[in-house]
Amino acid sequence: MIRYIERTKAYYRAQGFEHDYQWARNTHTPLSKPAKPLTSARITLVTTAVVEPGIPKPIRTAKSYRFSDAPAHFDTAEVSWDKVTTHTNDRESYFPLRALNARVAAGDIGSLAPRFHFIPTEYSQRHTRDQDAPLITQHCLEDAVDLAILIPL
Amino acid sequence: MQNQTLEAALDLFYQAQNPGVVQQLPNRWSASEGWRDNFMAITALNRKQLLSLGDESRRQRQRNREQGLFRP
Repeated sequence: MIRYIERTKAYYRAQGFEHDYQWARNTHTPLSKPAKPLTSARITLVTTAVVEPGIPKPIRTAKSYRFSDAPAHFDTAEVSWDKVTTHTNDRESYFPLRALNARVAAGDIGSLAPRFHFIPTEYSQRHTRDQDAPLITQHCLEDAVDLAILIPL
Repeated sequence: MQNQTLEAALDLFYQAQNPGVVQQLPNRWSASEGWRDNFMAITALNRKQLLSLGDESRRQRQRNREQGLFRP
């Protein structure tokens, strides 16, 4: 087992940062059971992989895109993952669109939503909680989404 | 492996009895467990480099602020 939080704190202290990141603790998150069976549910993806790297990182905000506009390769260089051990050459490893489409075609999943959603990795909990998450929630409601899979990188 | 991971995620929507459930899958990153020691490792060899990375990051943040590149 790796104690990720302790290791991350030590890593950034070694970089000279004096204040540890404060991880969000959502202790009162309610459990929401799916209202529909998977065979009639509409599903979407939420990713931290970057769709528009031309937008400077400090001002990136949540944004929704049509699945048909999903890039063949997202920009994953700026987000933190173990770049020594693994890679993101295979989009399916972090954005399983083909696998979802196959299940929809087979009738295992009701439908794919028209849009997926980008959410930036942020130091600010306020940005995520008060700006990005509500926007994605709104777009999911507009698209009549039943299930959203968050795949953070 | 990708199909199995997606299958497990879809099952979790319907099987989870509590929020915040973590389901461990049997998949391994690699046959070697060496990555565990190397991930975010701080060693005598990279201490200087890490500090230099931090300095550059702080300078970049300052430049961003000066250019108005921040979220309200």
